[in-house]
Amino acid sequence: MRKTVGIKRPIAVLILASLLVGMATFLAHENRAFGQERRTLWWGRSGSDVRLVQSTLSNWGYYKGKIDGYYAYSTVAAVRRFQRDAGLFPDGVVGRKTWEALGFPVIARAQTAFRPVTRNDELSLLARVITGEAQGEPYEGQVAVGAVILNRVRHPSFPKTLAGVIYEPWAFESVANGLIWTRPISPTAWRAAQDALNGWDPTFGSVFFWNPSKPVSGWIWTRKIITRLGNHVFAR
Amino acid sequence: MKSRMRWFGLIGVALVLGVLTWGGYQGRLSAGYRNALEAQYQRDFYDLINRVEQAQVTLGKSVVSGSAAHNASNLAEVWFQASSASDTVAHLPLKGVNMAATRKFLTQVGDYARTLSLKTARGDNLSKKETQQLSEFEAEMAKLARDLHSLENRLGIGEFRWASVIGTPGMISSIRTRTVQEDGPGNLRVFGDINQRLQQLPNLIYDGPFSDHIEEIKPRGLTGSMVNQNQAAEIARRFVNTQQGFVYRVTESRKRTAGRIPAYPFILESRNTPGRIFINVSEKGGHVIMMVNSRRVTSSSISPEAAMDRASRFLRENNYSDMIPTFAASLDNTRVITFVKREGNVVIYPDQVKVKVALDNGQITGFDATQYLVAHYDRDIPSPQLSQQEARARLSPMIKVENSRLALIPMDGGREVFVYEFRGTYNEDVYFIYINAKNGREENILKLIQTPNGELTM
Repeated sequence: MRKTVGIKRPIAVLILASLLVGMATFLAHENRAFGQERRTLWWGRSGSDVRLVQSTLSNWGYYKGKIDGYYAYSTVAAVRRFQRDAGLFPDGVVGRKTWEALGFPVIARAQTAFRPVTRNDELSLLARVITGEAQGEPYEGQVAVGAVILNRVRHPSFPKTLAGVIYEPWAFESVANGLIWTRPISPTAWRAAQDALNGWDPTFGSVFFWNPSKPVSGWIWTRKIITRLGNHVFAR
Repeated sequence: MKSRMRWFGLIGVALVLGVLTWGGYQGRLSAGYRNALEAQYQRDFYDLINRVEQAQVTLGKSVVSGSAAHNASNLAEVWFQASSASDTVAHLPLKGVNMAATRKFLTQVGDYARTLSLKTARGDNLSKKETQQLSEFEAEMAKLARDLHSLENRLGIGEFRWASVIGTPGMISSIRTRTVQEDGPGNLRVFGDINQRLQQLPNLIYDGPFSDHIEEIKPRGLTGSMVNQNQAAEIARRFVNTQQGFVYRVTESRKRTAGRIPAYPFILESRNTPGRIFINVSEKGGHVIMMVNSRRVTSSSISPEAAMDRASRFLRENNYSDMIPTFAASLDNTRVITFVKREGNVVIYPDQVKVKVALDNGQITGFDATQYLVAHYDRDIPSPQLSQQEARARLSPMIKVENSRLALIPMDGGREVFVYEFRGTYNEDVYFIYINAKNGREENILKLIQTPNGELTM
């Protein structure tokens, strides 16, 4: 009789341990903040986007607490103070307007269901890839990367839609390694994407770009090189 | 002591089992992903075969058809199947294989068929040469279908799985843009072979947007003599400094660009204003092709009307005469205004220039004359053979016409057509309808998409 008790306990421990590990795995998958489609944040939420709000508010002197990623009392109070100063309704909830006031544009949605404005969707997608591919490049280099993507849409050897070009397997490193989902869109990339969509093209119709200091195959050098901007070579 | 040891042992076993559970979970997760991915790729691949075969069959029909009206629908079907096939090729994980020629082939077959479909829809029969071209396309399509089937056989018996292409480690770092050798690895080699064969096809010249001659159109607006880098730098400096109160110096001169419009790029910076200006000055004629200023504009103090005046004045100062605004949009405290040329009472749409005005101080922070410099030349504007009334009679009764004027519009394949432009509304939406001023044919319809800050200025 005693023996059975002795066996039961370790089994309970085992089950508990595996449950814990399993749960940790789940949480690791579920809790990832997703790119620029900003969540609405309120009391009780947690994650890297909460940390972003906390660090921004702390830089601006609204938030004094720890940057721990938990949306609790002190964060709510800081957000309220910020909203009051920004002329927003102080509800302590970070929604679209508050995100924007904090300097993080939220993806603009089409205006109405039956009259869609596709260019807004294109703008955020393009800005996202520019951020992923050309962060730290000079401004014209960022416009150029946007222009190359748009030139591909008009080129017979590439897909005919912006999403088709961007999500083509292995076409862009930042899509392949997930950087476009994790890097927040930079304000510069946003403006560069606007300029590219408005037709500015510093590359004269290029459809390829690469960084010559990174390993690339010899094939790419057979293309006609048009110009060099920042760290990228542009070719068609 | 003994019981403590036993506890450590048990915790150890618990951890091992925990890791095993975790590993099992991960394994099942990745198997799930792999299967979902494989299903997608299999679907894309079989769609591709299907579309290529359909395109081949319909190409054959279009060759033997004797009815222009019936052929219009055959050719439209070729267009749909071939361009869908081109898109589908771009979905497949063809790692390490250059598919540019294959996709170009499929796009061009579709585009060519579309051009002929329009022709036959007007009642014209295909020429001998066009029929010949379609029959050559059919033969190529047949070879393509045959090669795809050879890979399909291996997929069918499970010798090859698409998802296995994804699983290779280390592929991400080495692949950037569309790098790669001509012949892909292993099972994908068949695609490399296809592409090599299609690369040998001669250039295709026809009246569509993907015709090979489009790439070779010489810019007509580049008039004047050649300038060297120093002269170009002086032109860039003057162009930027014509704006009152700004003093910019050239801080970087870059190597001349190759390509359709050889140009000298410069960077200009100012001591008292933030922002870097990037500017391209053409080697031939020393024209400013485009300019962008990286300055972030954070406030608006001048009105859209004042911005318009500012942009118009700027164009006049830089020898762009008779330019009229067609569209303006506000974005992040800047206003982007599109201007086109007007000759007499005719609006010349191909001659287009864009100007961007900062709404904080009226500075010109962007300029783009690429289209103008490619398209502009001294044209002989014909006189219309249809009266405005006659052209208007060709419009659909659904449209409520608001006004009209004469215009020259760019068409696919680089042609320009002389038309009446009618602006009208249907269901509160604004449409522009273009009626050929010579033969009354409806050449194009544009629908104005309302954007929050954009407005027509005509």
